Amino acid sequence: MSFDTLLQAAVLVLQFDVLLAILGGAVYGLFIGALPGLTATMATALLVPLTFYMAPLPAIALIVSSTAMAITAGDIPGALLRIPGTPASAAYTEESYAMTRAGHAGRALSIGFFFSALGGLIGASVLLLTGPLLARLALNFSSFEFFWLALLGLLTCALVSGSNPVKGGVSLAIGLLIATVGLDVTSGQPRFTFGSVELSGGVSFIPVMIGMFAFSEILRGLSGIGAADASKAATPASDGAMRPYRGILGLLKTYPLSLVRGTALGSSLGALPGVGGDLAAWIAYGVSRRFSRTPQKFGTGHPEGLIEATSANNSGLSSAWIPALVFGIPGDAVTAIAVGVLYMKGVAPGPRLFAENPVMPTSIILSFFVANLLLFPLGYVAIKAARMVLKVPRSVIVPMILLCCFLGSYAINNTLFGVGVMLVAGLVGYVMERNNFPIAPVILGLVLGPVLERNFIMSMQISRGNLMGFFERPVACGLGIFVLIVLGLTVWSAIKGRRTVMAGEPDDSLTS
Amino acid sequence: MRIADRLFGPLLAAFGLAVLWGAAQLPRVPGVRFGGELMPTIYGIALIVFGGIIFLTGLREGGPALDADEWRGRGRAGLAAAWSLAGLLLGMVLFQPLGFPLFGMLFVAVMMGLMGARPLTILIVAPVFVLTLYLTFSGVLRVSLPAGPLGAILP
Repeated sequence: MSFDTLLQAAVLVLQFDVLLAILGGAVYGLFIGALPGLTATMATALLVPLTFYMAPLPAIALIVSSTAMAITAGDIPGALLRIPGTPASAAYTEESYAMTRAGHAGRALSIGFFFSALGGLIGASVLLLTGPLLARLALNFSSFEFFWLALLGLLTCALVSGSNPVKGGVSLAIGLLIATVGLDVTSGQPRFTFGSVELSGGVSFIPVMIGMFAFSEILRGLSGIGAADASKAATPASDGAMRPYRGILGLLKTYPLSLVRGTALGSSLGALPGVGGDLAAWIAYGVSRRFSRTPQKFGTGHPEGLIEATSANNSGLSSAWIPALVFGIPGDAVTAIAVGVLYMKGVAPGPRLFAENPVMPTSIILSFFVANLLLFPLGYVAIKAARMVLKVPRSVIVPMILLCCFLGSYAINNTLFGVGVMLVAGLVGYVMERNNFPIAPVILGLVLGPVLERNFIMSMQISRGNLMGFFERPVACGLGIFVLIVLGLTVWSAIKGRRTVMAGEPDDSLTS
Repeated sequence: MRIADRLFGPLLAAFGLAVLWGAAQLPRVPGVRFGGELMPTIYGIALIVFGGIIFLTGLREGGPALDADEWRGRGRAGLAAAWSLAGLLLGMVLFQPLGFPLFGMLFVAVMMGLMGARPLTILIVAPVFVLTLYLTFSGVLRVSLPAGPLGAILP
């Protein structure tokens, strides 16, 4: 990329209409992301009609900034109400909520905004400097590598959520099963649809996520066992702790490795088409716990995993644009919508775009820098405003959240079927949590189920049913062995932990 | 509702068996060796295995097999929980005839009342919140929401 291209792109991004689109998108993203039950994907989808009336660059800049802000702001209901705004923020919601309950809501939110912004800036730099190279590497991956990667993400999630890997496995199997509902990815035949037209399109993860995390949490709160009452957690004494970015540089000095590792994981995993950035947060949290010196503190409001996962979250978000821009293969739902908008504007993303009009992709990448820089001041305002959320009486906020759940489940497809799915998912989630089954693996299973199935079936067809075919390519072999080691270690530590418990000794193996 | 692992395990295994049966009923496409039944079969087997492990490890557990203690003596909170479910189900029926603004106000007002909010707070919060939400979604975000009888006066 030449300096001239960079300069021309910077001039384009600094135009008034583009900056206005970025600012408007950021404020809109903050609003949508902060509302429990409304997601970044929904925010992006709802923006598409607006982009009809805009030039290509402001249209994409609007999507870029609203997504970055909505995903980061999704941490707000996660930290304050234990309702994650996105599947990625679900990876560390328990951690940030535990921090809120300990009276450090401001710290949890500051970590979210500060390290998301840093992660996003680093991710955008990676996108700018190494984008084409990484995408070329990822394009060489076959279904074998994608299968192992998806399996690794799913297993990591099942193993790190909760202390019982078997119950984590059950949750994962349920999520993967829900993902099989709809038209079969290989033959196009209806599967488990029971003659329902709505089920033919599959079960959308958004109503399931809203039901399992929001509705079930409200039921838990009303039953007296839950922890939905954030207003109790934030006592007046903790108001001082709501000062934005207080002590954040100290955390940066204490956990620099978490930032580096999180952004590295986010940038590399987010760049893989079909895998997307959501996976990065889950894997980053799992890796952070596995390699931490204090793994026993995870789940109690410990900043280490939070820093790593939230950095991975936004850097993954930036690098998910690598395959979308360079090869026209979207890495997730948001970039899929953005690629659609680009086509609508007569701009075809792909290698030819970089060759024929390099200013356009470069200016899109530069808009990431502006959007992520905006996270610092808007995050400050959001953290200050979050105090108001904590002060609202429970009798006011719970009915509001429930109505948002209804509306969010309805608005994704404009059908009441989504509301029904949300209610069923909420009841199932309530029973699962009451019986110590983690619910996060259900969501990831639902999101990654089709990716896992598509790549597994394709790989089985290529290898003609020979499972050794999954280890024939060097990268696939390395990934496969890594997955088997993770599985082996988990089984071993579970057996060891069980023996320890039976011998009457303290059980710490399952938490390490 | 707490379900003891010695009961939850067999329930999961039974669910796994039902999934296996359902997968076996899926139509086969001629010439396709690995079809749509493969993954559900794997997940069904996983549920049976995990259900078995949970049953075996739960055998040493004491206490009742079923327990809904958390709802005992919850009073108004219990009623609020029942309304949160019944009200939203009712909303699925009344959404079109009542429209979102009226249904939303009814739902929020009843829920707030059951949770102990003061009448004045309910009178202010329910209409302001619901109308703000309605105007934002239908006006700004262009989500198609039924206006119901209030459609005559709402923009």
